[in-house]
Amino acid sequence: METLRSWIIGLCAGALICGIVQAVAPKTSSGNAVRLACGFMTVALLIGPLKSFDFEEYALRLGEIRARGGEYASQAISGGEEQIKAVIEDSCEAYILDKAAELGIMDATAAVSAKITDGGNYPYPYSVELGGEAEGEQKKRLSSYIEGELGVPAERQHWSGEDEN
Amino acid sequence: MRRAVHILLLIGTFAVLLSPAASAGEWDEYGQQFDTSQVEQAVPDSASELMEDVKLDPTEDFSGELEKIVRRAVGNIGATAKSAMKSAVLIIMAAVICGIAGVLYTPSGGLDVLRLAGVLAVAAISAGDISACVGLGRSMITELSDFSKVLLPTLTATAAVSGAVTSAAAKYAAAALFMDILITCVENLLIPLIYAYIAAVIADCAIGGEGLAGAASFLKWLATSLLTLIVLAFVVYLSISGLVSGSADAATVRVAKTAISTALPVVGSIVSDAASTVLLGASVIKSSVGAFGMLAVAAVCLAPVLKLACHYLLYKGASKLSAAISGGAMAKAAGGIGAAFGMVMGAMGACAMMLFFSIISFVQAVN
Repeated sequence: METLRSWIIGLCAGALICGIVQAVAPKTSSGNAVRLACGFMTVALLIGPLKSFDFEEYALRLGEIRARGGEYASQAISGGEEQIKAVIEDSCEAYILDKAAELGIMDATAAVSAKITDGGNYPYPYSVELGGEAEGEQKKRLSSYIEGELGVPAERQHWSGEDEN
Repeated sequence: MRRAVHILLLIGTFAVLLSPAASAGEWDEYGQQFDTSQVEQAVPDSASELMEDVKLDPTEDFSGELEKIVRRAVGNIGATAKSAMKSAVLIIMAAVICGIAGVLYTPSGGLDVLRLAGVLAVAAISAGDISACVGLGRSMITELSDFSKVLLPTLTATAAVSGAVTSAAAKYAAAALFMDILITCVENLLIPLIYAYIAAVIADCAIGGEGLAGAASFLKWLATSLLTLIVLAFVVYLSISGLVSGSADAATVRVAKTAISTALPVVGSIVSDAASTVLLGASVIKSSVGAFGMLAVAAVCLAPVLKLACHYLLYKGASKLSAAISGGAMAKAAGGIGAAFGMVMGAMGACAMMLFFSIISFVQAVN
């Protein structure tokens, strides 16, 4: 950019000087020679510095800006994935609590943990922590719903109080 | 005719963009995730008065706010018009004096003293206006550049989450690079060119000669072509990069949706709804940030552009009237200075248009 700036300023200064010289030059053959020389000088100023323009600098600059843009996008996408995970966990918990209420389980609680598994693009429910006053048959039926409809196998479903026993 | 159609299309896009956005249930959470408060805080001080009650909120009536901004900007134009009118009247008075002097005194051979005096009078009268208007243009472009450094990353982030993963980064690169080029060109090339053009016009009007007239004409052509080239290159680059990467984004979103629906029905619909909710939320924010950004850009530009437009029109008017009174030189000088104001306005307009195009491009990215 500095080279380009010097070129333009040199061109402008040269054009002004040529203009003034041409205005004061006499209208004789020597004056014509002066005008011709001014013309050659203008052309030389015009095309001279073009060969030294630095394209590499601009390529580097574009690369830096692209990297920055990619960084903003990927940071936002990570945040978006966290939000999707949160929404999925909340929705699954609400679904489990609805089923627990249908089965007559009192004071039911559910905490779902979602995870992106190998090869997946989105988080799926991975494990469930359950609580509440449930009898054996109720627990079995709820576990069966969770496994069949949310895809969380029985070994990843934990009732609070089971580990203590 | 073609220009009128382009202007109508731009107004139409503006109107669609500014229609009230749908309300998102979890606006505060999304807003915090994308830190939209930074965009509100980044609005330049010069636009704060015009943007008094405007908030970055999807329930905001942005079209109504635009009307208020325009009304406030037009309401403040009185002082600006007075200052420009004063200069125009002084130029016409100088033309009258030179016209009368020309009747009483006829220059013989050599330098035309009356012509020189008249042109120098125009230069002296307009010196303050030139300095103020060029400075105003420069500061407006700097403010827009600083604002874009906050606005563009936020738009990139929201666009990426709303599905435009590839195109968001590509559009950011295009917008940031060309804003950088434009700012650098304006600071290092255009402003010196405008001053050089004014000098060439004054010298040509005072002394005469084809060389100086040619130099002035060349400088004006160079400044105009430079701006046109930058804006054109930007629009082409943005369109092509957006088109190519946008198609990839649309295909990616379709494939992802299909992949979800083939999983377990209940969990599949939960995952699909979650992804759609976040995508929709990000789209709402993107539209709101885009609309707010356009209002802010309009608020930053309106007052300076109106001021320069006043000066441009009044100087051109003074030039026409002077031509009738005292001949060509003073009129040409006033007209040339008016054209210089037009060039500054062109630079400001180019910067604003590039930002508008960038915002529209982000907001229209795949949803």
